[in-house]
Amino acid sequence: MGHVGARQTSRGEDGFTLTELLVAITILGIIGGALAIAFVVSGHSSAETTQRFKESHDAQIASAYLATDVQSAKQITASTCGGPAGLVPVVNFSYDGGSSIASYLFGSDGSEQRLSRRFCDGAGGVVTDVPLVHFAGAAPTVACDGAACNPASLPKPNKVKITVTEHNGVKGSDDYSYSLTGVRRSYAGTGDPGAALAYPKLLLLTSGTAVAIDVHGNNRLDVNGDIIVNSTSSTAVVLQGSPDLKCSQIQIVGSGDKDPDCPTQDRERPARDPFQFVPFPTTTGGPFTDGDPAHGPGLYTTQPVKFTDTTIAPGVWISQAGFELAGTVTGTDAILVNGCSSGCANTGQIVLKNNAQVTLNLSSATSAPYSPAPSVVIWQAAANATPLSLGAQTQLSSPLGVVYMPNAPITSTGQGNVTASSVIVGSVDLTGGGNSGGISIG
Amino acid sequence: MGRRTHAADQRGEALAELLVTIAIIGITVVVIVGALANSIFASSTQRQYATADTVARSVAESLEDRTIAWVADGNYPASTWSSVDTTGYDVSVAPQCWNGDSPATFGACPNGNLGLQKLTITVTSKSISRGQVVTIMKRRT
Repeated sequence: MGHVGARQTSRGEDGFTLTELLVAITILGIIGGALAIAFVVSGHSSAETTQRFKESHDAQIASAYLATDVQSAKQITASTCGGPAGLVPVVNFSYDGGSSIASYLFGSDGSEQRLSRRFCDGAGGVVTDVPLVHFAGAAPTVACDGAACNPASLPKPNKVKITVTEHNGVKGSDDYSYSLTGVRRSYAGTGDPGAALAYPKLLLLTSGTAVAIDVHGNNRLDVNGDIIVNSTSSTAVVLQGSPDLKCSQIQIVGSGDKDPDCPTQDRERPARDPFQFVPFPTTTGGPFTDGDPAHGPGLYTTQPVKFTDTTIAPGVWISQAGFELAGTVTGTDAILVNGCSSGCANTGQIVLKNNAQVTLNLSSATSAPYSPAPSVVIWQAAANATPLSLGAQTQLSSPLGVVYMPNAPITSTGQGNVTASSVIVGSVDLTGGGNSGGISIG
Repeated sequence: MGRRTHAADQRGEALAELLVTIAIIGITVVVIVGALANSIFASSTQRQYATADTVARSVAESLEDRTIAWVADGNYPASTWSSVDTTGYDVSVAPQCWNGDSPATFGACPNGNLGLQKLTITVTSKSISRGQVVTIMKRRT
């Protein structure tokens, strides 16, 4: 700088021009360099940014389609909806079990690699053909319920997951991977055991892993109709000793012991409790504490209601301490309700004494004693798990009625016979009773 | 350049002009780079949102699965959606239960356990602390 200062004095301002120019050029060089780098980076980044936006867009489109296709699908099929040359099917969903098919295709159509969805109507004509994902990369992977989607071994796509990896061709790295999941809703259609038998003769609602049918010794369970077992246990049916199980067919979610007199059919999912959302019955009379049925229909607390060789008056009988039925008892349009929806102990028991002959008629299939109930004649609260006990040589007859005890077992201490349009209970327990009795449901 | 030879007092303006020019270019560069950074940030955010959306929809599908057990208070365990890869995302499910009225309103669960739940699934990206919300109705089977 000393030189500069000297120059300034001796030569005036002439020397500044060169210095200024050098400084300016240097600064300009730095700025210009930075600017050039910025432009180069911007060129790169805009391509990458565009790529990212495209990928995100693909993910959104694909996730919108897959879930609805799986939801509507009746089955996974090997049939396809066809497709342009170069694209091969990844998975095909049949909506109707026929040619109404949504095909997911992957491959290159010559200009780009893509995942495409094509939908055919029932006549096989293409309705829509939408490219979902545009990318370069490996084929998407498909898994059904955790396993490979094999149309032969797994006809029903309960859960389908497609994993897509989009290769970032611009950058060469930073691949974008995401998974889409769909779960089936539709269970209707022929050949689907989930749709058949809304009202079997015997419905065992016990869920989870509990034993639903437990027959020991020489006991017998003889059902003149179909049985549905909701339990998912591998020992849902236990036949120990030399018992006998008879039925038209048994549909079972889990599995268990088999009897040739009762052909087994696998069931896909538990049956619904048909009275699950029906309000708990109410009544007007009472409350009575002495359990004397002479009061007529109403609410009974404290003492069990005992019917012996009598006629039950029509109406709603609610007992919080159970019922005892002995001798010959008949009733028309009466409903026996054991327990309460809340606020009582729910430990009362319905007992048919030995040799009891109980007939609960309905004047018609819809002549429910209270509104809006269906034709239930014996109703035990869901909170009450006390067994329905059938004594030796008993007969409970209600050809139009339903016995509904969602969480209680049905047991017999001898031979109990039940005639009802449907028996809906938690389970069947025939482990006692001298091991030589049984229950017959017809 | 011609000026310099004629008038010495104007020589200084060359520097000032240059500096002004550089300053303007500098500001421009800052603006361009800023906009660029913005667009990169936006594309990254967009990807986070899109991925959060796929996660939320997948979780919703897993919850809609009719084969899973009904939970009366709506607090479905995280194992329900264990098949969904949630790496990098927080998943929370806020349940509400039907009041039994019409038109339907929803309150705290289990609320009588009437068989209809409103599940609000929030998937939040850990890196941007924002995400997607999906609401589903679950019916008891």
